[in-house]
Amino acid sequence: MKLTYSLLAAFILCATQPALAATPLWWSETMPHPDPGGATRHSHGGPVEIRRGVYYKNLWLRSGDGPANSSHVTSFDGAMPTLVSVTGEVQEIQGGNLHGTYGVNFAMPDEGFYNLYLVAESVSDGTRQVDAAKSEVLKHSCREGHDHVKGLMAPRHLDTIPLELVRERMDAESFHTTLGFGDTVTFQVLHFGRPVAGAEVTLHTARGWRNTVRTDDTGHASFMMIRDYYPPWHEFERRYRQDYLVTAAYSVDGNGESAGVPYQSTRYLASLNGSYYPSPRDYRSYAYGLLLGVFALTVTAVSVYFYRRRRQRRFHEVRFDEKN
Amino acid sequence: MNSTPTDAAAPAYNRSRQAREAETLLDRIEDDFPDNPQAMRYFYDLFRNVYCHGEPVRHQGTLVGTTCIHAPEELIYAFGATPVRLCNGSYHYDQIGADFMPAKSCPLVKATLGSLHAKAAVPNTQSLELIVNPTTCDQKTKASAMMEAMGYKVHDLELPPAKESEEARLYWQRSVRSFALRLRELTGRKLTRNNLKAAMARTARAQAAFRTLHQLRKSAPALFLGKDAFLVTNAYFFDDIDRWTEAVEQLNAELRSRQTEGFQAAQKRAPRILFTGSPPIFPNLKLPLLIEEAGGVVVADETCSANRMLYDMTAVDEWLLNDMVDGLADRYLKPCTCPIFTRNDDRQRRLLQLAADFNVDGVVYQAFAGCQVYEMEYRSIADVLAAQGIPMLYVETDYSPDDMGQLSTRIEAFLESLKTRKRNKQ
Amino acid sequence: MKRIRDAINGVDLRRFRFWLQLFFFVLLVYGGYLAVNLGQYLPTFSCGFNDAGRGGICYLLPLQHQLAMSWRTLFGWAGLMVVQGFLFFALWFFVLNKGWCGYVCPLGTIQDWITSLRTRLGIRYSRYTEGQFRRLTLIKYLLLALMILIPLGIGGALLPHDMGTPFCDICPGRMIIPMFTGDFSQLTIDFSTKTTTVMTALGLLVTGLFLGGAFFKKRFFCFFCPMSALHYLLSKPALLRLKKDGAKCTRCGDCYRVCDMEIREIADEVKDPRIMQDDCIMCLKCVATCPEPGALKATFAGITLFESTEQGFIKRMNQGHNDEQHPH
Repeated sequence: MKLTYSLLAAFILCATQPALAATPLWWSETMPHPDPGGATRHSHGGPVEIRRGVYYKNLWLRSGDGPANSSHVTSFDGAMPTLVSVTGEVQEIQGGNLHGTYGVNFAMPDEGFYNLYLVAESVSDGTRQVDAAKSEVLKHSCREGHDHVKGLMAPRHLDTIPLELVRERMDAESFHTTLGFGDTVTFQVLHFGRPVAGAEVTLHTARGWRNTVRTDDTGHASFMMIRDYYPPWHEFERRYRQDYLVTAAYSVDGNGESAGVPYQSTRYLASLNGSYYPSPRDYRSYAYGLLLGVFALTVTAVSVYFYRRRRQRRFHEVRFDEKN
Repeated sequence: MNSTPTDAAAPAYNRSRQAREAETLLDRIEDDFPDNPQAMRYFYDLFRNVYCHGEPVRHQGTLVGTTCIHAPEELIYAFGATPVRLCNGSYHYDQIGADFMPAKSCPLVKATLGSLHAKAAVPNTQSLELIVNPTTCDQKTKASAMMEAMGYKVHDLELPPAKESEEARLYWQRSVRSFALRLRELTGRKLTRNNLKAAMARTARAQAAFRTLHQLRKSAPALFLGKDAFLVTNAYFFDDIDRWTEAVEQLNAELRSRQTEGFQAAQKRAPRILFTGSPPIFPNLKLPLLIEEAGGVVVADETCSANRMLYDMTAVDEWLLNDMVDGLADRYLKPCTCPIFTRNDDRQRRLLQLAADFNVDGVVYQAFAGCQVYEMEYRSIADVLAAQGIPMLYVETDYSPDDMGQLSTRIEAFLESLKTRKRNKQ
Repeated sequence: MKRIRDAINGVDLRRFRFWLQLFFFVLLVYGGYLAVNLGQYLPTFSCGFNDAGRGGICYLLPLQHQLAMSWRTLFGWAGLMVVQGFLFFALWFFVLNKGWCGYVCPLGTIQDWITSLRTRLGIRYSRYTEGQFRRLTLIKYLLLALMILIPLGIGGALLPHDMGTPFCDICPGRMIIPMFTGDFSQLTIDFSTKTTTVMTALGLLVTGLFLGGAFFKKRFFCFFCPMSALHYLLSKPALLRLKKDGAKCTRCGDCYRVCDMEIREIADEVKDPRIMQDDCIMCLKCVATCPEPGALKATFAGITLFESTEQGFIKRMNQGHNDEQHPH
């Protein structure tokens, strides 16, 4: 009997818990349904719409545990999303119905990274949950040249965000750099702009694999991207883009009141989306390359050698056709 | 055939017909003109020694005779041998050679054959071990067998009758390569990069000296006379190349100082003559001498005994034997303006350019009776010169002194007409 | 003035070219480390794949890139940008004409280095026969046409997208130049799609052929270079020019025999003073090897920079004898 009760209690706990804690809100570049108009183009910063030469970004709010099991949020009534432009200008922008679900559309006139934030708060069972969804999107067109890139690479954060994930830049990263299988990606977790040690950081791959690590003293957590793309050889796509979701959770005890509801502790949940691709290591071969190169070199050298030998026989360069 | 002249034979030598022929001419060259350059002394003495006293031609290693400018001398030097040009200008040998060739044939070929046939010939080339006979004109080509019949070893250096096509160029390069093989057999030496480089350096230095002399002749009024210039280039036929080069460099230095002094070797008004056609070869300097005795001055020439022999220089891209030998081959074929080739336009353009560069008043075209190729090219040359308004005197002659009187009248008339033209222009 | 003239005309062109080529090689291959950036419209193979070191980018890369834009974009507002890029390219080109090939091109310089390696080994060079020359010389125009048509085809969705820069895919410069900054990543076969597999395999075959060919044949690749073809189409108004005075030419063929590109017209043509041919790389070796004063000259905006002289010829040709002791 006692066992049954505790099982029941466990069931109730399990049933309520996810609704409360484990379904982060996050920004995604994926449309709620296949692109009907075909207005989307591919650029170095992912899909964009280009109208009169200006790039526009569409992002949809999704809720769920990684790209594999998330649904689009149909409507959202909380605070307005905040956009930080390349120039550092902070502005609230209007979200709304975008092709059927809640999303935002904003212009990216300048080259570089734009940060979009959405902060939501709710209290349940005495625990306040603060969701901070962040997306860092790149606007880059090769037509603008590449001389200015270095100065625009550094990641930025906002001190007003309760919990924020910042993706550290890779070595010699440029606007063209993509994250590939086997690459290590590092995030820093900031709590109102200050690094947080011991936060729980989880990386979700597109196919639902996930890995959780805790941040170190400087708030850093690193992941090696795993390869989870094994199509038949002829279907292999070099530019196969997959989304990942990284979340960070951090709890703080402390009483308070949110919209009239009291709580005893606060759980911060930050999210950041990104994408990754097959690594060149998976499809580029030095062995075959060098083999072919050396082969061509040898054939050239040998044929010149024999040509020269043959030419020592005099006056053989004129050949007659014996056919009538 | 290969007996060397004994010392006892020497005194008799200066009383021989060919020695007298040479002596007379040298006297005319030296004595009829005042103000011969000091540096010409070397050449006058050289000719006296070789032609009047029968001194043997100096040489190192094997002596290789050549019958035309197309035999690459650098190759011969590279094998440690010495080339000597056999083309002869003596009336005496012309008469001896008449036995071999038809009556109406080129006196140069006849004289060459005659000198090869003669005992104790001048220049004294008795130790000749090979004759290189480029297959140029018909008469030289056919002379091959005759020279062989006299007991000489002959290498027929096959020259194509056209030079424009790439086939001709490659054919000739092969000819030159097989000539190198023949020289290897003859000398028992190996052709090396260093040998050939050194040989080419010697020739290049001689050519550079010649070019300087050539350019000095542009000077107006003339710094020195054409008869001396022909003597200098004639000496190149048989003189030691390094001694020759030094002598020419000395001559150049003297001419340069003449230039700064404002010296005049001929009158200011003296018509400037461009000499072309069959080559004047010592002692047959009949025509240039007549011109200059009549008050003209030969300032430039386009003949294979002077300009055509020494003017063009070899270019090499990579100093490897393969490129050097092909480069030599090209130099002996491509720029050559010999009338044996199919086309005349290179010679036409060369004459026009020489006429312009040397500020020439008229052209004298010498064609040896029997030298068909020059006779045949006469018309086309006359046409282009006429089109440019350059007067030309065409002279058909041979080695005999019989036509001297008639020629001097024609030349005087021609020079007079040039002077009148010049006056009228001014 | 005359003294300066004589000094220039008597220059040891071989040495002058070596140092100037080395300078441009460093500038274009390592210039990136020194913050050199000459833009992306250079009319020479300053390979854009040499990410770290490049001092500028070969125009063929952006050109193919731009032409591969969708037709809607290309024939719309972006078309102007293509035209603008082409104008920048043309302006660069007008300055040096084909001197870009003979003095600046890093791939050309590499070929010259391979050539001097061969001479040091004492191996003779190869030449084409006349027939081979006439046929092979057309290849560069074919490559130029393909280089323009294939990206256009991609823009029109007629061809697979991964062929976007077809010439770069097979250009030996892409494999070789990045290696000078330690980037060997171009030496791989890309098996990701059929197209990339074929193109990268072709690229490496061409690279092998390039290394072998350049060893036996002076400036082997320049003969097939589509950049050279593009240059020739624009060469008429260029400032640097190669001129010939046919009247002074003796047709000795010295210029032809030293010509890395085996251009016969340089020796045989005596009527047209504008002698530059489509294969010409303006190395000016012909001018340096011409013994006839004033027969060949290089002019810049009508001013003679370098002309053939007798003294210059004699001086340069004696370079070969330098290591030789003069016999007495």
